[in-house]
Amino acid sequence: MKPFQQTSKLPLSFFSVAGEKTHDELISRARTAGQNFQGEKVTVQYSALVSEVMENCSVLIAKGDPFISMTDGAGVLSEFSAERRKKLELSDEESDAYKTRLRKGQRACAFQGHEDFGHTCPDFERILSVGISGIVKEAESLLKEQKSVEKKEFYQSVIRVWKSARSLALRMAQAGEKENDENLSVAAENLRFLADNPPKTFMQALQLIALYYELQQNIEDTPVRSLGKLDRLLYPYYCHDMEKSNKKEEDIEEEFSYFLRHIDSYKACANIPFALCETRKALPCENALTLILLRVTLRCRFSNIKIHLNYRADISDEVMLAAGDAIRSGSNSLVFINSDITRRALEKIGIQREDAEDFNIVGCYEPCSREEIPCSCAGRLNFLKAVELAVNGGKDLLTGDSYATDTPDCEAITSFDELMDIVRMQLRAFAEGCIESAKEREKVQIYLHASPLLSATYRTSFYGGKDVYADYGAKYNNTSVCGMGIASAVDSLYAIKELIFNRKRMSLSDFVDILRKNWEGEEALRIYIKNRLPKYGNNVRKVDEIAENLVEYTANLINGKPNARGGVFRFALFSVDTRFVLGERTAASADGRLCGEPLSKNAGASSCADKSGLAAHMLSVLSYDHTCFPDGMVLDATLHSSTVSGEDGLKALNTAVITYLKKGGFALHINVLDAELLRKAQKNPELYSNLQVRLCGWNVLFSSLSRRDQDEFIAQAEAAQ
Amino acid sequence: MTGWIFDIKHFAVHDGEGIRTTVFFKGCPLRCVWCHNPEGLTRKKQLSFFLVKCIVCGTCIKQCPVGAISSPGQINRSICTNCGRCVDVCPASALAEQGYSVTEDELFIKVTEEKDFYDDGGGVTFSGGECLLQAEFCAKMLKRLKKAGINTAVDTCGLVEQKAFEAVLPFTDTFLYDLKAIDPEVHKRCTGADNALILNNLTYLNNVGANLEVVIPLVKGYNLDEWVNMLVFLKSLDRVKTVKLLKYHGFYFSKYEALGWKAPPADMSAPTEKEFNDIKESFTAEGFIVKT
Ligand code: SF4
Ligand code: SF4
Repeated sequence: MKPFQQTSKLPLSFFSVAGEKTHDELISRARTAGQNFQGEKVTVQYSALVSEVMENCSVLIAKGDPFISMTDGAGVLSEFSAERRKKLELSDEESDAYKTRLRKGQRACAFQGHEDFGHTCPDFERILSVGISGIVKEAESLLKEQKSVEKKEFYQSVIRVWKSARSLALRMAQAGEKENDENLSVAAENLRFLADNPPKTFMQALQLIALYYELQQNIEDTPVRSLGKLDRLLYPYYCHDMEKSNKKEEDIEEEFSYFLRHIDSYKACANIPFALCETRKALPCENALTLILLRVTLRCRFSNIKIHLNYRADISDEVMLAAGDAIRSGSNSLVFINSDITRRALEKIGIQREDAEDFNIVGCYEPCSREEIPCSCAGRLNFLKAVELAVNGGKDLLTGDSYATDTPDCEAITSFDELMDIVRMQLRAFAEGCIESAKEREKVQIYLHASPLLSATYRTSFYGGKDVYADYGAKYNNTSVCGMGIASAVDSLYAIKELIFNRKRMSLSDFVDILRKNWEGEEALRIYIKNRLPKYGNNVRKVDEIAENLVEYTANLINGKPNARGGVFRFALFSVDTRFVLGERTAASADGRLCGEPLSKNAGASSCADKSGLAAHMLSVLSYDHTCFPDGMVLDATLHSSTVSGEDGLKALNTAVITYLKKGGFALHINVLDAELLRKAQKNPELYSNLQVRLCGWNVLFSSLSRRDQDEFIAQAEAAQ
Repeated sequence: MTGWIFDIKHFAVHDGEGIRTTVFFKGCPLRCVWCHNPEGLTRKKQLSFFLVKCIVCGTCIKQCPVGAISSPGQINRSICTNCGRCVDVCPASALAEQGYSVTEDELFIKVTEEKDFYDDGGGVTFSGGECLLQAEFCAKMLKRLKKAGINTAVDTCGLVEQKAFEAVLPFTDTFLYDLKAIDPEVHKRCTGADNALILNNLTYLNNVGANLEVVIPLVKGYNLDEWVNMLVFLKSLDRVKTVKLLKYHGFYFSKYEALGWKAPPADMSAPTEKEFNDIKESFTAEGFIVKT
């Protein structure tokens, strides 16, 4: 294999080989295959379609790439899923008043509940240890023992797709062999081996992971949202190579760099994450690969790769310092995950300890225990909308709809405590809305999606002869609801408490009128609230206790409640980019937010409201118990590189991270800013009013500097790049 | 007893070891030409106006009881009584009062809020202005902090009576001691004051075995050439192992504008990269640990 060089980081250019059909032909063949199995169970239909695509897709390869895994098969299955989904969509003209209310609540983005087939982490350990042909063999022998038609169909489906996976691996090998390329022939040789054996070498293990990723993510259309704990998964193969092939660490680094480049080329939506560090308590936190993989990933800086770094008290200083150093030099692809808190959160919803502690984070921040289907983004709950309805007699300020019964008019509210009761009443209705909407969808799930690939990797599902989706066959078939806009809701409630009930500046109904008119003519009041009232994210107890109250109350309404698949609901506190959509449907709010503006991000402060430094922000977020988020949560904080520069800065950053996690923080994502961002901050100061920069021995808010000073700062930041 | 301060900075990362909370005391005996904290110079309360934040709502004009504000930002400071009413009503935080008093209890609560983050050597730093102009208050607070197991640092310009140092010495883990020049003439031109007492106090702290970190600002046009003298002087002090070299920058002019003061002279500049590195290397070569 050629050495991996700086130039090797350039994007790969893929070309199509080994496919006789165009993409359109592929779709029409799949359609025919689908028709042949019409009326069959979704598992059978799916396996027929998936296998058709695997057998006929074109293989995409790139010169110089020692891995082959891409095809043009993406998008075929998703068309079918979309069609099927449409057919099963429930109509708006429901006669049932309750269901109509659910629909309205969903449309207004007060609460939502859907299916989610998109957040999975297959059991890569099993895939690597058994291999493609191993799974086929196991399924064949289980098929012989079966009496029930359903189970027979399940194993036949598994055999069908995994056999096709084998023939695709061979077609890929052929494609690689045809090219006169040193690296591609490495891939070809490995694929030939993998068609009939589990991997032996480091490169073979990586090749199988990449191949499986393509099969499940793109061909089967069941997104893979984590490659698992790569240090642990790859360790046996690393040991093999070090002992048997006399490899050096540099060789492993090269091979992994090539792998990252290959995986990065997928440009998958929301990155491709993998984890580092053991989460099972009884085993050592790290192995010899942990630091190697971390360093290579951070050095390569591929934009589409994300690391979940599982933190434990016994994690080494080297790993933490390498992570901290990368973060402060601008790498924002690393998220710290607290293993202990995650395990405890999962145990709280009934997941057995050994499964809970062997979790992976799927996607952004959502834990998925071993043998769990978490449906981690199935539901959404809008905290700010609950406040909106509470102050407006239970009616949505934008649509006039109501989602909870018996909400009193705002004139009748005489104290802040009463208002809080009414907010909780809305939250109760919203939680119920999420749960009932999701359950409705779950009942039709058995007609919607199957995953013969993923199901073969889950032991309970595979040995039980059940698909993880179509038969609810996993050990834990759970469903999740994410609470969104917590800081926006808390800041709004505090503003009402202070202005209306403490200072009695105006009546609540007059204030609601101002919100209805989107602050028209009241800009000074809006700016006053934004600037002058204490906000969540600054370690102000009287504000943070509102957050504590809302979050823990809502978590109790969701966590552990039964779903329609024999599992339970799980609560989360993150909003990612959904906060924009929810914000669009949420009226102006008492925190000074204008109608349509996004909600606050994840568990953190409202945009730019965290003005008291990172520790204060962390303490606010720590004011509630993070084990009430079995579906995860995150604080993402923004710092300027000058705040964490030098030895002192790195040390302080690490201390802050470790303190946050030790005090029970669930997950942490830190962004360190650069000159580019400073320019944006100068252009739009209102969006960056909390941005701190270091001046000599201290930090100041960038927005408080004069234009001239800002210019000079940008110039220096550029010079420092 | 109360202290008179103008700011408390949380998550201060560069004011001593670890993560710290820094308290800025108001009032300073020096008048450094490059002072980056002009709001800390006088003991008097002052009004700052930040043009970039003002939304020109005019609320302050209506609220001022003596008619000191003619239009946003136009403040007649000779009649302003620093009553703070305009500050209270300004929606945009464009107006700020510099200077407020704190009781021991209030300050103790404030600076221990982030105590959990002080592991790894972090703690509380008293800075300013010159915190030791309020040595009695500082000593009481530092004692209390030490008792609570919190690391303490005092950032000082050194121009206070020796007894001020004696008062805080038993409760101070580290002194961040500012040194600007050895030549008295240069010192006078830079700071407006003689440096004999400053050098004496530094020698005193050294002799009593205090933990010292000497902070040297390097300002071209003013004290840059003094670095050799400072190096020679510091070599004679056996307790000084660490020096922190601060390169001049001009990111503080907005504070002068805000106070309605004229800008500092324009003849100051930062040392070049080479000059700075040469100085850094010279200190390192003499065995100092150099922070920048
Ligand atoms: S501080 Fe008082 S007197 Fe001075 S400008 Fe403001 S309102 Fe007027
Ligand atoms: S009250 Fe504040 S924002 Fe309004 S004009 Fe005065 S300084 Fe400007």
